[in-house]
Amino acid sequence: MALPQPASSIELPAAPGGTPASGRYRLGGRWSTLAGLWDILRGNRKALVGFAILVGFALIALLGPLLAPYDANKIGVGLPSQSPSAHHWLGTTRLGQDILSQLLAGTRASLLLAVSVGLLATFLAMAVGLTAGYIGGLVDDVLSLLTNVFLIIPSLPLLIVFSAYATAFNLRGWWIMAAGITITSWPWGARAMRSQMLAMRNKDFVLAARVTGESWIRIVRAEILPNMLSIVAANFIFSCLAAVVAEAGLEFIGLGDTSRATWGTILYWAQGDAALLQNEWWWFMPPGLAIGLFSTGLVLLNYAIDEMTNPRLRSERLYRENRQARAAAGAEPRTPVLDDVSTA
Amino acid sequence: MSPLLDVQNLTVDYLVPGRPVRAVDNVSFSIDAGEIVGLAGESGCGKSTAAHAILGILKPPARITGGRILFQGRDLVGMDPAELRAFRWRHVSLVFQSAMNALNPVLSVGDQFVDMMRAHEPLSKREARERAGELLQLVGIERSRLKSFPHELSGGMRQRVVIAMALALRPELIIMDEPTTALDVVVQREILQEIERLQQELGFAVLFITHDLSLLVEFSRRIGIMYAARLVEMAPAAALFARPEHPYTLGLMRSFPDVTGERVVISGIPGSPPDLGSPPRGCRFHPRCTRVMERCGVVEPRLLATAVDRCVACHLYGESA
Amino acid sequence: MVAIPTSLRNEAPVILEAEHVSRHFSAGGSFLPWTHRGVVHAVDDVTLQLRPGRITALVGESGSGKSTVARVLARLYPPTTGRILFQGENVLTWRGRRARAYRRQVQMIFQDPFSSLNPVKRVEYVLSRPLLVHHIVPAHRVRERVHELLTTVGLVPAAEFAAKYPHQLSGGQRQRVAIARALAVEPAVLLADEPISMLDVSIRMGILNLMLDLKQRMNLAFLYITHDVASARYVADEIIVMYAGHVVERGETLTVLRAPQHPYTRLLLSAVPNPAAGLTRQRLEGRGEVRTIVDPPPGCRFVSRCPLAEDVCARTTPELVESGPDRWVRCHLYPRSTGPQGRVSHD
Repeated sequence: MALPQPASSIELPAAPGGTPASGRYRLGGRWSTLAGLWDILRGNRKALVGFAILVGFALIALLGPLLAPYDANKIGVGLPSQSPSAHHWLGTTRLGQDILSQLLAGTRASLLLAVSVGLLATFLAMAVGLTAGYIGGLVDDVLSLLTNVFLIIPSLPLLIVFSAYATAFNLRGWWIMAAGITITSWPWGARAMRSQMLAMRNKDFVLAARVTGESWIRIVRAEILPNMLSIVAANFIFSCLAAVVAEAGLEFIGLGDTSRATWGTILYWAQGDAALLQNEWWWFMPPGLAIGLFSTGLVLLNYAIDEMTNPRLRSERLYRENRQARAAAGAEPRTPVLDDVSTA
Repeated sequence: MSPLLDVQNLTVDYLVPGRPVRAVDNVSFSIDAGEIVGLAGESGCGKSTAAHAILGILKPPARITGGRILFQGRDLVGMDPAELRAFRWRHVSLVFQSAMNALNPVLSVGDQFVDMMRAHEPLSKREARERAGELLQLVGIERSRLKSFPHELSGGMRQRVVIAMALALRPELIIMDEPTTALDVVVQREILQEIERLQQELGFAVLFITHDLSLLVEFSRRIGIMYAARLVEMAPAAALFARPEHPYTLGLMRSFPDVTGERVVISGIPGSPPDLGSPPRGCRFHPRCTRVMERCGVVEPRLLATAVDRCVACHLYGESA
Repeated sequence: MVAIPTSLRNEAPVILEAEHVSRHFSAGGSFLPWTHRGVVHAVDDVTLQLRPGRITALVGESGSGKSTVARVLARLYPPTTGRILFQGENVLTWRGRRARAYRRQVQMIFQDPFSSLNPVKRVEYVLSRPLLVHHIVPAHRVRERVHELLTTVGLVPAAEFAAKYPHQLSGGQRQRVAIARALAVEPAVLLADEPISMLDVSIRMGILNLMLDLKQRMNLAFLYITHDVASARYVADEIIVMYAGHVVERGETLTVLRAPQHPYTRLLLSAVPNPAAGLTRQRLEGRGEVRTIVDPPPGCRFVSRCPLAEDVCARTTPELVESGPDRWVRCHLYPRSTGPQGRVSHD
């Protein structure tokens, strides 16, 4: 089996005092994010698996409901409480609904919410965090106070209260829940963005842009943001993750729109009809697995993003993999060598 | 009398996918007991890598791929990790460039000493602390500073602490990797004077690594010049300063303007150090050399003796000259 | 051997000057008043003049305030007190488009070649921005001008360098790109903040010689900030020595360094490695380190390290006094009331 040959060269640690030992840095050079991501995916198995999982879910979300054999909500399309069979791949509910169809519809709903929250929370985090970090002073103090207040409010109780009120006012709809989750998840990202902005703001190239006479909008947009894309991407991933779990949690306790199929509501219905006690595993396991798998996919993809931002992680992993391959091929150096004492 | 440290044909490679990059290429030098030897060169020349190799603290993907490192006759290459750990710090220790690289910011100075000493010797906490206090006094810091945290000390004091730590087990050799580069010039001189005093008092040998050749000329007895992973010249300090042989050494000396005398234009060395992944053929310095000959681009010059205590790797001297 | 010519001082009018400029920072805490932890006097009462065709060196160790002076002159921070005059006009009153005009006249080069260029932008982008922001050339001529700039700083072939990313360049090359960027707007003044201290030794002289060349060819006014007295002596016509936020000595470079008046200048000179001095061990005159000055008490700030300190030094802050033709010093050894000769020095 051929060794994975990344297109990019590995960064050599720079000696103290200046120029790197070798000029061959391509990582970070061809800065099309997608090209960089693809490079890493090719070499990193974990990331590839994660990426595949997410692509799979995206396809299901797009096409699922079209391909569903039955209407998700229609009662009595099959006999109640049937275990999986040829007609109903995931069996039926107590009311005779097809679980597979519910799952397919639910995937679209849950994913839609997760991605919306991810985008909104990230956007909000960026707006607050970047502004606080760049402007500083009183604006920073006020925005940080705001962020901290939202941070310490326990999110689940807040969400419960929020959703309960929404239900009481008959404001149903997934966007209410999306708003609620967004409100409790943006602060984490805001803190991260602010820290990163504080670090970037005093970088020499940003100062140089100011001395050149660039407007601050241009500086944030064209100079700073491109250097922060990995943090923004990671923020997005974890917001999606938090959203999926929060949503499922809220719906499980009945605070969502209980008439609409999502991963969480399926579990709610299952729980309401005592599926666990009845050992109707085909009812409660698929949505649980879906949540777990989707989260896993997100986390694995984050490995790739980590490597993109920190090339040393990548070179260390490649070194380990290569050593094993070299040892297997008998290509280790023949003179006695010191083993890596990297903990020193 | 055999030397304290005898590095023979040391080679260190970075084993990256594709062709390995040679960071130290067949470097040989020796240090006698109680001697101060300087190793000068610019970034990428391999001097730090060589120092880390001697101490056995190379990080992957760097590996020693050839040569021997004889310390008091024992070969450090191929020692098993446990032996090496026992050996390290007791016989050879290291002073890093930036003290903040070596000091833990969340532990007090005293705690760090105690940790370090108890790791190497069976001491009680009180004994260790007592010794730590003595060491601080040795480097000119009040004992009460044992309670301080690194960030509460000034740059110079931090560096003294690091030096004291390097001295803790009374090693025979201390390797100093750019110990004063991050310090102001006045503090730098103080620290150097301190090191000299300690060296005379305790008798340890020093391998002083720096890019600042003018400092070495004042401070060390012998100086080795490294360029692009090779040792290109080695000579006693005074002789090197009076009559540098290798064109690179000459160029390096011409990169330091004088503080006295007439102001004349000096030009440093044109070009930049080579890419170690694909170094020039023959002599690695030849693309930048003012006295380049045809031979230089074809044949690699070997390190040859030009006097009883001098050697240089250059075609201007040696067999063909 | 070619000697370095020294420019005559009074040829050209002052183009940029700082008048009693101070810059203070709050040492932590938020806008709530009880969280304040003192005031850092990074720069206090600094006056300097820059003239076209002259290099002025600002020499000091860390904590001396020299970088802060540059940043105030570059209008990256406003001064706490004092004025900045460009061709006699107070620039602190300039707003909007006039403020932008200042950016055309005064440019800056930073210390760290690794962080002064945006890692995700090519050289061409970096050099084109100033041209576009200030409309130096019409859009269709931008590329051509970028190539010209690269050639001016010695990066040829220009087309090749224009396409590179910063990490593909060596430290010296990056610094040249930074200089090209500064030159793009055709400024009158260049503030160079330790431009060579992070470069390899053998390429430092190349950058310094480039500075000398640009000063000559383009009649630029340079402020060269450094901690290295030797390089200051090499390039500068005038030298200003700073300590803990104060200017302590000022004058023509060779004169000051040949016969330093302030004890700190003497200390600095005694600390510089000088192998040509016959390999003798030099004695340091004084010891200790510069500390950040938070809420400094009255009195000379060098008093704790000065071998010649007397009672008055701890009580009263000395003023900057003209101790000779074009020589200024801030030290009680040279009090204001005495004439230009000051007191006799202690050699």
